[in-house]
Amino acid sequence: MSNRVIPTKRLSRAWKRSRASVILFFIAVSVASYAAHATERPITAALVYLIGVMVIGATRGLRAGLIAGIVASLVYSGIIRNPGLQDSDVSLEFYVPLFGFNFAALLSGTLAGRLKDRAELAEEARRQLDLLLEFSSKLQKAVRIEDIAQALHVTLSDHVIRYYIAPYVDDNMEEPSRSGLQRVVDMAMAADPDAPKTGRRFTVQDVDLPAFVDLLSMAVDRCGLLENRAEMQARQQSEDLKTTILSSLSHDLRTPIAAIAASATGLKRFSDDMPVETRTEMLEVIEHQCARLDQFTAKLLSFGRLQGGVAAAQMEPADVTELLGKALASARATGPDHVISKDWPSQPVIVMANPAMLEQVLFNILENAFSYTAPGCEILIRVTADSGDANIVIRDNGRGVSGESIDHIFEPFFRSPHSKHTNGQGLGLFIAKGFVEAFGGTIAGRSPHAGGPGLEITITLPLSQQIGEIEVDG
Amino acid sequence: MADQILIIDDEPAIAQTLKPVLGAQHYSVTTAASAAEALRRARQTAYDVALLDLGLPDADGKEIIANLRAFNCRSIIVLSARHQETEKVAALDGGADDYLNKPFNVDELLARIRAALRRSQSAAPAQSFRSRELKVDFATHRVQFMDEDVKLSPKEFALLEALCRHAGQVVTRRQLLLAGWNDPAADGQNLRTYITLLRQKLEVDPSEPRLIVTETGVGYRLMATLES
Repeated sequence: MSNRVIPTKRLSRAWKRSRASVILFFIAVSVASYAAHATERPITAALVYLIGVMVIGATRGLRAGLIAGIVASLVYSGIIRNPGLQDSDVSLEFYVPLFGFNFAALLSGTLAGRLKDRAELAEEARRQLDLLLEFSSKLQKAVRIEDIAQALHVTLSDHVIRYYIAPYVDDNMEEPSRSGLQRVVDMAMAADPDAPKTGRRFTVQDVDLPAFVDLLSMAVDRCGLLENRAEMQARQQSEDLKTTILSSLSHDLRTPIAAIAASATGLKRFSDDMPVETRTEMLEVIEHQCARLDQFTAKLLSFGRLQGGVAAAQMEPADVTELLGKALASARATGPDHVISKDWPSQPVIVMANPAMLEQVLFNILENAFSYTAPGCEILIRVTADSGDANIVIRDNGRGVSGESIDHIFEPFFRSPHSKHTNGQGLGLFIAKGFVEAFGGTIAGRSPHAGGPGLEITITLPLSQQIGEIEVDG
Repeated sequence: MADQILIIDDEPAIAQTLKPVLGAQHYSVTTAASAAEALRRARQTAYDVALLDLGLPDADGKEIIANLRAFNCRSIIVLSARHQETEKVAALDGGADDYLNKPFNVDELLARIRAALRRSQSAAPAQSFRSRELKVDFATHRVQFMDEDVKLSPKEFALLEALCRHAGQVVTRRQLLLAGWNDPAADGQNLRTYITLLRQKLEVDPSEPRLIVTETGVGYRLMATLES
């Protein structure tokens, strides 16, 4: 199949150029041979001619060598040895060397030419192999269809992809591989034209089409399998998460319900025998546990929103400082004695987010900080806006998270070993991370004093583009 | 005559709890468990306040807001367990006066009912607003915070006036944009900036506002309680 496409315009142009130089060379050799013959050096004349034929064969291949041999035979026997064929005095002594010369010229032209062709084929095969090796090493790293398209794009010119690879795929490949390959080829052609083409030195002759497309096809199949596997893993993880949440529901819902039910029943049956303080205490238990249930359902709602994804339509400019003030007011209810150190600009810091979800993010982190620090401890909240990002840092000096656990704080249902007696469900930071990432931001946790107490959470969100200067009246 | 309150909620526990609580505050309470029943009752009686749950069995609560208004229901407070801001905004833009998330605190509910009654029962538009910390004269534009004069720009004053006239009730961003810029589609960034400026002048701690609080995704609420 490759032979069908190898002769190209470029090839024939090169061939024309080389043909002119071959003819010039042949004429020069003929003149030299004639000169030698004219000065009574017949052996030199024949040798010059033979060497000329061999050179042509060796440099221009079998066809050129054969033609040079035949022409040299004719010229030598017709013009040089016997100008005008006028001499009728023909003898065996005349014919034997002539025949010998003709035979030697043909033989040397043929042999040199074949040798040249072999060498050329070997060189072509080597370059085809080079291309295949280089391409396959690029494909090694490809895990997505996009990676394959990129590898193809940087290896071959758009011309080769468009006029050789694409038609070959259309004509010779069969479903289901074909559609995947067509996608890759289309993507490679649509790829950024400025991407560096490391493979520009490869030309059409270097492409062993069947082998190259086979390689491509295998890579596409492999990526298909990888994608399926990733999809299945993601689905499995999501299922696992749902199962874990359902099982945690039994604990996180039933515990407060049990407390509420016990308090309510106790009040109903024994309130007459209880001192006023006990009755108040039991009513407070009910209130407190209801608040806990409310927070948990809010987290479940957030979790549902997270699973559903955050659509661009739900995003709007939101002021981080305003939402922090709001979240802080709500969080204070859970830890009224904490010392809050606030360090944020008095001007709005605007990011693109869903305001309610961002408030939930900030509340979750603050609630977490409050529940891991003793009353009276300091919680630092700092907001800065620079180089296109809003940075929100919330740092507590509570019990902290030990070295290896810090990598897991954003995982669902992760609870620090210290947190046995707190009421967290282990969903707060997980939801925070999910929302922040849905807004195109990042969230990270670290120990401010390596391995020591405290936890510092940093959220980075891209600042919303300012909509012109604000006119302030009066 | 006692103020008439209509509770529209299909959850019996809500009616069962609120009826005695509101009754103890000397309100006259009627309940309706469906949209049809609510409209039937509203046709007969002009209620002062309707507490409307959005998730009714026979209709979306939002759909009956206009009808309740047509039957001279003076004030509608939406009770919502579906905490979707867009839904609250839709109900408020559709004619509701306020909203309260379920679960709610009884004190909070009573404050909202009082704010709604105050606004719907004043015969003529008020000339001024007075609360413990804030005094605003709508005619002279004089504003006093903690008994000290505060100088406000015309836009700041327009926004503060809108908030004061709905004291205790939520005012949507759309309403505030109309009040300040006569254009509900004006740039929300401007509104945010002016609210920030107002807070710097009228809040003890502008980073944690207590007077002009944010109703996330909906609007703002002036929390001042009126001087009796």
